[in-house]
Amino acid sequence: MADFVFLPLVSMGVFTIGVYALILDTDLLRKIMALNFMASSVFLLLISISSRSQPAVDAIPHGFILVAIVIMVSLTALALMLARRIYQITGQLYLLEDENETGEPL
Amino acid sequence: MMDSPLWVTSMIMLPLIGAILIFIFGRYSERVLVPLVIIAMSISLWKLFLQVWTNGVQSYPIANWSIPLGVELYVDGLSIAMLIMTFIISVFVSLYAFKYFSWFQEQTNWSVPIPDKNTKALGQTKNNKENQIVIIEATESLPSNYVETVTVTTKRDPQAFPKGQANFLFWPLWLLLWSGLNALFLSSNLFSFYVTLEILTLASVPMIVLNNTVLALNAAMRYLFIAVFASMVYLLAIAFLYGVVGSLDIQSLALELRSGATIWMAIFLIFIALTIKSGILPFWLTSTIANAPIPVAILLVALVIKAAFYILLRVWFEVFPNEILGLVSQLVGLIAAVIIIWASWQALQQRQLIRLLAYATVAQAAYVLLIFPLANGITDSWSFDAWQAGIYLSISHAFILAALFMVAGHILYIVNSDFIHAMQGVGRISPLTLITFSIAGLCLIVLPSILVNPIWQSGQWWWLIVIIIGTLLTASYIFKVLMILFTKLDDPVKHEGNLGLSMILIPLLLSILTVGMGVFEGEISRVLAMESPFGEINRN
Repeated sequence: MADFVFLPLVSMGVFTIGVYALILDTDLLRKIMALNFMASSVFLLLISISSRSQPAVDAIPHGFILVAIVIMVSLTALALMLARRIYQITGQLYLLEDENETGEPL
Repeated sequence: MMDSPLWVTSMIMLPLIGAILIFIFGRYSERVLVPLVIIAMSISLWKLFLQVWTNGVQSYPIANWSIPLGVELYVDGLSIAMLIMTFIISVFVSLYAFKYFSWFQEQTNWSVPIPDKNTKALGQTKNNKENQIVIIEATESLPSNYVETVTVTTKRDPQAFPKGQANFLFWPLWLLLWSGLNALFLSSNLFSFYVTLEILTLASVPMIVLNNTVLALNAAMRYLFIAVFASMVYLLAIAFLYGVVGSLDIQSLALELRSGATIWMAIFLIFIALTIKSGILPFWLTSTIANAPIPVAILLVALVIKAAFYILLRVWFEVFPNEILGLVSQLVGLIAAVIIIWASWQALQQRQLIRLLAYATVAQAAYVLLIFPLANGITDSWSFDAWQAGIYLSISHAFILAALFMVAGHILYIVNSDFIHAMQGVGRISPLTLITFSIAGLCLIVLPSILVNPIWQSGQWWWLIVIIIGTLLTASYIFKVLMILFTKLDDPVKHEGNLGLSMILIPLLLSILTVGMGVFEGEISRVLAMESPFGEINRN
């Protein structure tokens, strides 16, 4: 039962780190890492939920985690490929500002 | 139970199989396979509609696994309405995309801005055949980063797609998106919603890149970050809900959910995640749409953001305990009001047509949020009217915005520029374009008045002020474009080749269809009333 206090706290901490890095870091690889941090923290929370029902473990969150891992792997692959393409063309790993965001003339 | 599970499963499987086959058989196979998929989809949609119409709500447990362990496909009036909307827009977008991409293949530089009339255009355009780098030498009145921006904007990566690949790659991705949308509208489980939302992200991000510019890559990357961020927030929220209730099925959640601190947190997180996904919060929509090819922009504004709104609608009215939502819904309405006015004002400021329409989309998406305060009090009769008005508004917006973007694509085709001031005299060259834009624009102005009836019934007169201001602003930016289109020009805009008549007949048909929706309002409300959350299955 002690796990159910400790694991959710850790997972929320990791989730916060992920959000912080995703918003404030400019480097694309760090942003992609941050998304994976957020995903892993939610998986940790789901594991702690499933371990709560003793003695038998609740299997449904495990199914959720498996599906979400597959989705996260493919999304990460897509993001890495886009980042690589951006690096090939512009020579840097940052997002460009969209030029006309404020409606100002170019 | 379901009479025959064939039709409901084929709604998901047909586009998926089509996508795989097109990808296997390669170029030109889409000319046979996409019409085949559309014909097969029309048959199965009609059969499914008849099943729901005669026998009421249908549900099908996949592989006969029952609810706590398995996943159900579930069809009621709202799902079937969304499926029909998706089908109609799919047919129109497919027709349009065939025409658009055949033009798009040769086209390389329509996003090049034409300098203002009153700035002295000293520069000249050079077309480098290899990299398609377009250089406009800066005039004195332009900022110094002008040259650089233009160069980056239109620089195309020569290795990215061999000739004609963008044309072909659109189709498998689009059919995958269609399959994901249908799966989303047939889900009855919060986790299935998460999975299908991710399928939408996976399908729509590569489609944005088809534009093949650096800015499109940036927009796709930014969209991916925002979409996955929202998904993670949503996943966290459903982990909370699972921790409290022990099930994620909509019906069991509705029965067992009681208000509490964790539930409050989950509601807050789901609301944040889905408003981000539906394009209302932090305005990622504009830069994404401005850099995507027109058919992809249509799919994003007409289908993808509506899908997120559909989940919000389901969750809000069928899952959350209604006694606590009265407090929140006024706040939601306030957020919607601020966004409506802000985005409409931004739309008025834009100088590029696509960006103007993108801000208009944000404003129109926020209108639909107004039904949450209006429908507050789920047992009253007027709440059904508000709910129904919201769905009606959402569907007509999808049609109208699709039509407007199609017309915009045609105008870009004629004048070869995205800038509004360059569009003078288009009405002279192509009167049909002008007529279509006028019909669609007028529909856009008039549509929010659907909400007046629920406002009248609920007595919340303050939302009327928002609608009046929003409508005035909408009229301003629509007429701002119309005025330019109507203008007579001394030296007419040059255009080459034929004018692409089918490119303008498709949106014209779509806008007439939207006007025609008013005629069938009775039928639509009968469809929506089937097993609505306000029907007899309603939790007390």
